[in-house]
Amino acid sequence: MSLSIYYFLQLCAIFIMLGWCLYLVYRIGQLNNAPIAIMAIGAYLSSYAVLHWGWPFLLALVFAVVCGAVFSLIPALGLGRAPSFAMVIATIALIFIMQTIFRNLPWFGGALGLFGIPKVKNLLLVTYIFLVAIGILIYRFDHSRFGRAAEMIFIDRDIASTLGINIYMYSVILQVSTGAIGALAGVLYAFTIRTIIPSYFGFSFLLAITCFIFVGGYTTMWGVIFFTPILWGIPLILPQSMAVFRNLIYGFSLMVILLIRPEGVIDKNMLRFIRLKSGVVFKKLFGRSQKTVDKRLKEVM
Amino acid sequence: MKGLKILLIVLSVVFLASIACFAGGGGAKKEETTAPAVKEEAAPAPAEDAVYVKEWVFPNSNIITGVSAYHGMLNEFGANFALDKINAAGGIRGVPVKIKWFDEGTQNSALAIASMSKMLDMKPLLVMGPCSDVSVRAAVPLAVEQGVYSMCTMAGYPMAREFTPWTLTFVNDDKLQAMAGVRKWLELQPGMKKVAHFVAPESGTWMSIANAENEECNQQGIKTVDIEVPYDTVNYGPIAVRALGENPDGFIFTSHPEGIAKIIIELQKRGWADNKKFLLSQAAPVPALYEIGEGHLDGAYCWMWFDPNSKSPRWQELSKAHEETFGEPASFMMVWKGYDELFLIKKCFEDLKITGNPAKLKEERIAIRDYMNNCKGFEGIWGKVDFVDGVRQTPTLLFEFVNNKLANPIEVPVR
Repeated sequence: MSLSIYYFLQLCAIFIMLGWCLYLVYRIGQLNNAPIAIMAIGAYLSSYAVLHWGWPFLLALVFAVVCGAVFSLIPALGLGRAPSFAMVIATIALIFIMQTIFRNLPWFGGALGLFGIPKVKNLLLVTYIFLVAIGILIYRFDHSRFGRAAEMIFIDRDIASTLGINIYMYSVILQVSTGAIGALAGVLYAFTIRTIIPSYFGFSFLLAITCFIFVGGYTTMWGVIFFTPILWGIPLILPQSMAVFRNLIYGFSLMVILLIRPEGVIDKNMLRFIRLKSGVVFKKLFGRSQKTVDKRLKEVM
Repeated sequence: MKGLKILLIVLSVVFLASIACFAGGGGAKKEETTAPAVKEEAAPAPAEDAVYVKEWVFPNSNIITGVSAYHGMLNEFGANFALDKINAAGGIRGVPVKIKWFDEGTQNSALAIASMSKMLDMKPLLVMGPCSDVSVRAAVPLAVEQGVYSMCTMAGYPMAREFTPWTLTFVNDDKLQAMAGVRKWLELQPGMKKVAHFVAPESGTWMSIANAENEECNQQGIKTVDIEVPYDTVNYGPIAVRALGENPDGFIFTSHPEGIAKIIIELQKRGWADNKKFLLSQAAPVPALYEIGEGHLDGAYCWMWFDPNSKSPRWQELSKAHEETFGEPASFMMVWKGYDELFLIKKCFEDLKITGNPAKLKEERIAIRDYMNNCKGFEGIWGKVDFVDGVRQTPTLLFEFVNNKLANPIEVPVR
């Protein structure tokens, strides 16, 4: 496998994880950017544990993920009831705070960061195992009563409260879960690049991920999966003379998609449509009634 | 609503088409090639050291997008200038040279990795760049792992030295250089007790220089207060107010150059009159500094490791071309970065008789690394210069701004 494909796949997986972090908390209508800050914690703690304490990679990974989840509890407890706008501002501030902390801690190398992080064998495989596992968990969550409750909170918080849904608890749980995923993404990122400095975990990540999720679709987990490789692939696929317009393309596609399809390209209706269409093919193959399927399709559309 | 959507789609298509047109346009711009560094077999080589390739293609990681894209533009300008000179003189070992540019973005580690991985897939003999600290940190380990030498010549010494012997830097030990510059400034401006220091916390290299500058001040019994200047600052007034609130006797500027002029203006608006109490670090003198700070800089000091007023004919020629293109004589390091890199490559390839033969790729990469790391007597743009362990040996110069230009250089020995 060529290096560019290897790093493309690796970075896509990490971006998808981070996209899911945003997606999960946005299920209840809160836009939480804290995973980028938690990512820094995961990256720094795991690297430090391996470099200075000589821990094996997996132990350092578990340690960093646990620390990330515990740390994410702090803002989660405070922001559990916060409206979406307040959460956006507070969690962006958290990114700056985290960068400043790591920049000023001499154990973590200050502005020069940590380097010489050892190479991990089969990191791509490890990353995709985690990606699939997280994907399955999110899929299960989406299709459970918790997922339906989250959707209710998204639609109307007041009605959700009257139905007995504890919005605060949902928010805290989702923020902590995404904190753990963010920390995991940070560990994988650190061991991919093998050097870390505080500037890595800043706005460039946030803007890219926000674009991936809002263009791809924030109402399902699939939008990020399909649109991260497409949008991240722009610099790789396009000729250099066009690839330099990457940020412009991101911004423009985001604007257009939000105007034309406010829920992103892949929304729930599209998923239903695809499901039914695939059902049509299936039923054609296995001789079921076409009329019944067409009737259902009309109902949905 | 439907009509609006249709209009939006039409406008989008027009907009994207215009991007495509501009992207492909620019008649003056050279056509890029997708050819690898070792492009293709020319003919069966008659001799062991005959050149194997029809064209040398050097991948170059540059800051093409983001807030620092201006630096990348200067880098491209200097490199293309050298490229034309070299090709006009018959190329390297009689073979023409091309540069393939890759965008590392501004402070974007993921993009830097993507670019470096693409460059390494070309199986190059060496890579030019990356430029910024973040990119060097993120991408150079990939090159090191593949055994490819990185000419990340603008990387600060502390960044590049971590990857020695696989990196080349044109920046001497900036800790010692910064200390020498500050020492001379304090000698010229005695009696200061407290200095406010404008720093860029995002940059590892600049912070390392800033720490060295503070260290020298502290050694001389002068207190320092760091005032952070983030990259994305819009209003510099509050920063100036904060600095003045510390009641300092002088100011050191080790932040991004575009902001320095604005801070100086804000300080002067608030009553600061003694420009001799300003010391600017080496990265400050870019055209933006002169344009924004015109009429406000005279009397201030700046330490650097090259003299932009040098009478070196090659520098004069480059500077003149720069003035024709950008309206200002060249003064910033990014202008001559690519220039000297290409001439060093030329000298290296000719001295070592590099062939570009894929069969010899590994040994030629190592030979290039060893040669460049300790190259002696390289005829750079400023004259003869030596490299020791991948570090260019340059003195510290302290300048004064006179008529909005750097003047009166004083050479300061590095201790």
